[in-house]
Amino acid sequence: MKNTKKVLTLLCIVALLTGIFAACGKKEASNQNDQQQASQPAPEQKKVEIAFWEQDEANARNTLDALISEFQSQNPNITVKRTHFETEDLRKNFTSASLGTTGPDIVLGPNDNLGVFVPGNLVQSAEDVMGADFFKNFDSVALEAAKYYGKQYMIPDRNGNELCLLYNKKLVLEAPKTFEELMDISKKLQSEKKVQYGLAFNKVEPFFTVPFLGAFGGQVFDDVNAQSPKPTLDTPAMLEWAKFLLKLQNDKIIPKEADYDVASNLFKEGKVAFLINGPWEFGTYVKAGMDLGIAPIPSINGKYPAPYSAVKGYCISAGVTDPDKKAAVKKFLEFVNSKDAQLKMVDAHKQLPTNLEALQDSKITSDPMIAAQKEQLSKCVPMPIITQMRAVWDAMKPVQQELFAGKIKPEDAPKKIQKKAEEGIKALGF
Amino acid sequence: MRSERFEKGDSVLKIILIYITLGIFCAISVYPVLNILSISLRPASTVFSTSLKIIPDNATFDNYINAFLKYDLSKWLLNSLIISSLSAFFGVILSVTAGYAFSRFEFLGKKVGLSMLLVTQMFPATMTLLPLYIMLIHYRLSNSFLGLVIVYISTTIPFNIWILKGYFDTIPKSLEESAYVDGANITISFYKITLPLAAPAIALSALFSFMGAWSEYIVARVIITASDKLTLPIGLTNMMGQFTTDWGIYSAAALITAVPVMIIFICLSKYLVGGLTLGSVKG
Amino acid sequence: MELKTLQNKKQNRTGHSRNMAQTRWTPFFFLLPSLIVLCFIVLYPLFYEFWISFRNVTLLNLKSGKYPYIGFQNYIQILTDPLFYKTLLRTLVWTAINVFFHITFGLFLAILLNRKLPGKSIIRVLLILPWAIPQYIGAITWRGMFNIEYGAINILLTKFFGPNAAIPWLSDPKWSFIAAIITNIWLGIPFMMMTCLGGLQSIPQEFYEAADTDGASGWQKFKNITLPLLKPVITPAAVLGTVWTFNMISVIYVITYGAETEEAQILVSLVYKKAFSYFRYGYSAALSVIIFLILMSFSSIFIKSQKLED
Repeated sequence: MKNTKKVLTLLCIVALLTGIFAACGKKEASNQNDQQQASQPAPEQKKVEIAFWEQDEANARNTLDALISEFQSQNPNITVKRTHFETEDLRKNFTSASLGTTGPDIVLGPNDNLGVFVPGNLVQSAEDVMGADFFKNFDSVALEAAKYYGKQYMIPDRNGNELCLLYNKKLVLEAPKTFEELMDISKKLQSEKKVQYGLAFNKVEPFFTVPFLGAFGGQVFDDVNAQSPKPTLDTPAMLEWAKFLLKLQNDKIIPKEADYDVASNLFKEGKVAFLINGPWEFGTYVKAGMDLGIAPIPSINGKYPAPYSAVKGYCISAGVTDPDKKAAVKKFLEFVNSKDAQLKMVDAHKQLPTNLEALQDSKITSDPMIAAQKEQLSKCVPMPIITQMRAVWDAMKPVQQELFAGKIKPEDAPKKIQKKAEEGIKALGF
Repeated sequence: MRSERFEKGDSVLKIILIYITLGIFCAISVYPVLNILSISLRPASTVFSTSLKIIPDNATFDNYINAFLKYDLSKWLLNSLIISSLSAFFGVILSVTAGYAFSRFEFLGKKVGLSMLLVTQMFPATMTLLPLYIMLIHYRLSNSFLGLVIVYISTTIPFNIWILKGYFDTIPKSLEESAYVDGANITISFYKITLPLAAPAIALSALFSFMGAWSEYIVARVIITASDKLTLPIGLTNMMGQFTTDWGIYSAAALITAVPVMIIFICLSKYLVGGLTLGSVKG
Repeated sequence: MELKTLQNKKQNRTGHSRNMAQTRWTPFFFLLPSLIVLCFIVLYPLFYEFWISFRNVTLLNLKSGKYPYIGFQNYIQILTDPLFYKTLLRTLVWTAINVFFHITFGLFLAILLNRKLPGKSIIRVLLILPWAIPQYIGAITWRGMFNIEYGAINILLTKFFGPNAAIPWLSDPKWSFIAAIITNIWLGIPFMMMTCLGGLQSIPQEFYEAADTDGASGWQKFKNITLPLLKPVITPAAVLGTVWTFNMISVIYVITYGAETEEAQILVSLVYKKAFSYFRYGYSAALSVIIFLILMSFSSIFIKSQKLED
């Protein structure tokens, strides 16, 4: 009796295991079948479905939906399915989806995604799909930012994403030119009990503090275009950066604790006079009835902080190989990057468009918020988009938090950031 | 002060102390829910506020209306309802027979099997995501409700089996044995006698399976990417932007998500006592 | 003591005799459906993870599916890294504190609720609410309550103890770790409470009555009747609780903004970071296998020691 049971169990296990291994083995074969079936010639006006992923804010999503339905009514054989992801999720899911067949065909996101998408072979050259002529009508600076090691992998649709100094005109009449001025104004307002703090910004993310590194002449990589760029974080500039941030906190210019929401709301409520934030949020403050002023982040010891500028744009998945699909993707991308479409998007994201015609439109040239951004943009540096940047962000974030929490002395911070960044780059496989 | 309603021999002071203690714990356990309620009722301009009032000044239902108007909340609710119900249904069917087998029968590897069920809970679940995903793609189940349901069932089965096995253990065997004397076979006695008696534990394991599916996020995020198939938790996290989140609408939607399970939970709470038998006091 | 032998006898009698209606195939027939599902959905991924833990996966070769075999290198790298031991220690602290409070508060509340008490069904409903709320919603709500300016907790603290009592819950890694623990304790108490309550209600009242006639104190009754009789209920619940807490990523992830700081990181959040931010699936798989082994050895030792005490 016992023996039969044993044999039976054994048989079952063997059966299951063979099933599993057979499943593994067959995988590649069946994938090839899929592709063959898909590429078979089809009758004209074949139905094509485009999967489109984005990570935009809510306003821009609504505009995108309107654009998509307009596009679909013009091209009844093409359906575009938009799916929203949070930034990190988009990166993560696109990467895991690339192992299968369910990934997106088009991805809209910031250009630092390229640092993951290109080395991971997830996207294909946009020039191959769109043709070289397509890019003649684009702003050359934006195009440059959408390249990865010289190759055009992304079609930029907006330029900016830069941090500016926002000020409440009810509290401050004119934007300070220097940081010393800003501190004086803050202290005065504080002593008059008009505000709780002078300045606020998101203290959690290094994206909001890295501009100050530029003011002390520092940059995070020795040369971003080199084959293997080295992080340069253990520098005197980084030490100045750490000391400066800590001084802002100790002088009570900035709040002891502030994430994005806290900073933004202190500003909205008039509890701080200045805020460092980006164009995506301008509309919110105007809507809340604030008298909003926008200016470049003021200079420190005569040198301007350098916020990162970045472009956002469309990437085409490496999985788009079928000619019908390629044609549909091309049509869609031409449509959303036309002058009219880009101008509609500007209403939502409040950044500079990349289409040359759109840039010349009076709507753009006469917008004071966009004009103010141009001034800040001239002081920006392009955000490094190489894969290694991820390790730099991950190195700065915890040390910056420890610095604000008083867990680490400014003197020790640069060394720790450098060490972590080096470890991170090694972990990425470079 | 001896009443039928209290424990014999308790002094008034002791009773008061017990009530105070329970009151404090209740307050702590309920407050976060009230906090969501409070935020969801605030008008958009005062979502962040230092007021501790539960019902804020100028309370409004705008956020609830906007949650449905601005987002596909009704679609997400429907999708989640379908997926969670299917997971609960199949999760119970599959584990009830296994729980019965573990409770009633003697077979090779019974002890090992039971501990293996525990062992499946020990591997960090997020890591099994990648192989699962590859497997679902192979069977063309990615982006489908069925694929998601299969994964959810497999995650609930081990815990369900434990609960059901524990509960079956408390049902005396003599009932079934008398049925055999009357000529019933094991299938009939299982369905006609044991199953109805195990109703509390079955209700509970259905509840746990339902809840697990209702609030699961990490797996759904990877398997479902089509916008018309999103489930509630993914929809909710989609409401959070990279930098900005409309916390008022989010809280309204979160409450809409939480209330159905809370109601089911409260309705079934009498089963929770006694139904939750991981091990049993009785032999 | 008599009770125990009685129980054992009963177990022996029912345990080893084969049911009269059972044939050799019946158990298999009953187990088959769930066995199939489990084998495919649970075992296959486990084998896969084990396999990939010996391979080098990076972003650069992820898509190709060809991962070079590197032997035990992932394991060696983890076990020689001081960060692993620091994180392990923190994970142990995290688990121990959480499970301890889950059980003590859960048992305490269960004992109170097991008395005759008007209105106790309403109290019970209120107390299980944290369980009924989806975990991530609970965690995000608590994060909001820990906010330094607008969070209810600091508003209360400053109201009672002055403006300097505000605690930087979310910016100081040490405090955010504590915040995560508080949140997780809140989430986990109801499960333990209900488990204990179920156990308490099945303890026959006669035992207590007998103890009363012997003049036993409340503590003596608790120690000599309640605890030993609850042990078979609490042991599996404690093991499950430990396993769940050890691998609980969502709470710590939400409260600490992605567990970026090493000082508020536990082993699973490290796994998550390495896999999904750095695409080091092999390394993460190896770390998962180590976690798995730790939990498995803990559980078997714990359960064995409990049995030995009996």
